[in-house]
Amino acid sequence: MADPSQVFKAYDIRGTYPDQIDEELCRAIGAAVATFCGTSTLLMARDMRPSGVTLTKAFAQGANAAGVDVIDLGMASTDFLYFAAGSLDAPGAMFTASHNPAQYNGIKLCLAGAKPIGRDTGLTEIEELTRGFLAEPATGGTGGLTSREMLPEFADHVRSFVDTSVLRPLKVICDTANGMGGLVAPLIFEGLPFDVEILYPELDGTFPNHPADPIQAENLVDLQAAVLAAGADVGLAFDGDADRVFLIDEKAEPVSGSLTTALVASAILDKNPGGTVLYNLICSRTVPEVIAEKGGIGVRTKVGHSFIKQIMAETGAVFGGEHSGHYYYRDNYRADSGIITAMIVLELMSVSNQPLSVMLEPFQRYVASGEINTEVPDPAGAVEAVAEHVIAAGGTVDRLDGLTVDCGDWWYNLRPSNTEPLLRLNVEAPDAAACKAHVDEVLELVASLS
Amino acid sequence: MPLDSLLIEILADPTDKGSLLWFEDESILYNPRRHVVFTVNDGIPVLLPDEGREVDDAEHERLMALVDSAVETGSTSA
Repeated sequence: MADPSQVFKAYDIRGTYPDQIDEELCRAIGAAVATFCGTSTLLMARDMRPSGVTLTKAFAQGANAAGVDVIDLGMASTDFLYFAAGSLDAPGAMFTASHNPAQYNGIKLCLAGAKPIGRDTGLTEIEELTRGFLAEPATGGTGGLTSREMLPEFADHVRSFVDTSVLRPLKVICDTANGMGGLVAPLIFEGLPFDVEILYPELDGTFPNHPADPIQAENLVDLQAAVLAAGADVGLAFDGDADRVFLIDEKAEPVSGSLTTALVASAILDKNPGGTVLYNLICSRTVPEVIAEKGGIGVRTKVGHSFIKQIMAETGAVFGGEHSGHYYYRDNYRADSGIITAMIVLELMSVSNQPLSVMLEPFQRYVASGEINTEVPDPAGAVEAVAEHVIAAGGTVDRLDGLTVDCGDWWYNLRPSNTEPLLRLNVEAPDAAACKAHVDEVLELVASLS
Repeated sequence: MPLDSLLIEILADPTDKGSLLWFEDESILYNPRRHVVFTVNDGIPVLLPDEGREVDDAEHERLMALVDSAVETGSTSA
């Protein structure tokens, strides 16, 4: 019998099929989610992983047995499920393991209105309920299972974020990596003037071409080559469940999550003067600078989608971006969406009439190291030791998430991993040479204090 | 109704996680080790342990006589 503690993570449920996550477990989870949410209806969708077929069936049976109706939305992207949970005001379960290898599957859960469910907001309770329903399956409930087609409504919703009348016939190449972008992108782009080419559009949960993880540089190689060969204006790389997107400019240069956040923030603030924009503390300094320059209010958050969503709710922020390629929109029920981000960038490019690389020049102010992981025996202890050292040397420290140290024209952040003996380091400096030197400096400091 | 080839590659018995035999003509998945049959409705296998139906020796013999027409699942399971 599958063990819930192996698959219930901090923000979602994830494991390998069928040893860690199987139909029996999903039936228990269905009953648990139905019981926890306490609504009469649950929404359910899945990505293209083959195991999703039987796992969703079992999940629905569990929910039905607990007396809750299930609406099966079919195969979709994760941001589509959030849209459905928002527009229908019902809790939802998205069966996906995002960019994880083929043998994985999992579930991302949300409450009605697409409110997140994480460890402190229901996932712990659902895990406990799941144990109960594994021991004693729910019976007797008379919930039913129906299907509903909502993709056209989702397409209208995504297009509503831009003025489609200003869009120009840009040459756009998408790499959907055999993930759900292959379903969603053609649907959204239909009838729009873009000249769209899609790499690997077939939905195939075995990811036969390359992993659906665009944050890894090696997974952008095919898209880069295609952009250059076609003389395209932009490349769009989606991850497995298409809630993240990464941009490639016309020179095939990858655009970082921070730069994309700054670009989208500038567009959003033009339409929402004085609005609040969120960014996590790993983002480049460029982001708060651009927000201030555009007259917006910047709010810095810890790393993690539940923080961004929570603070978006508290502040009424109109947009939030993370370095990792997640972009959240107030008007998308505060949920993240890759395709909405793509549309906003394409609208900006249409209006600007400049190559993307030229549009980005004003935002290319600093050089970031990217996340560097170091193995240390006691990551939390290492962070404390560095903090004490910095304070003793007369410096100031920020403890919002791990340790952030402002060193004048450069800064760094150190965060301990909760699950592995790893320390995560991010550095940003005025140029590449300084960045490398400062990375070495901080790593030596950590080593000397560990 | 045929079963998706990707499903055939991954499906396993929910209890012993071993391979199953897919009999397309009868729309069933069979575990010859535990003598348990799982139904497939509209192309969707129902792989809950308590939905499996144990068969008697005669039925087991009948299915094993047809094994050449069956497809074994789980060739690429984790």
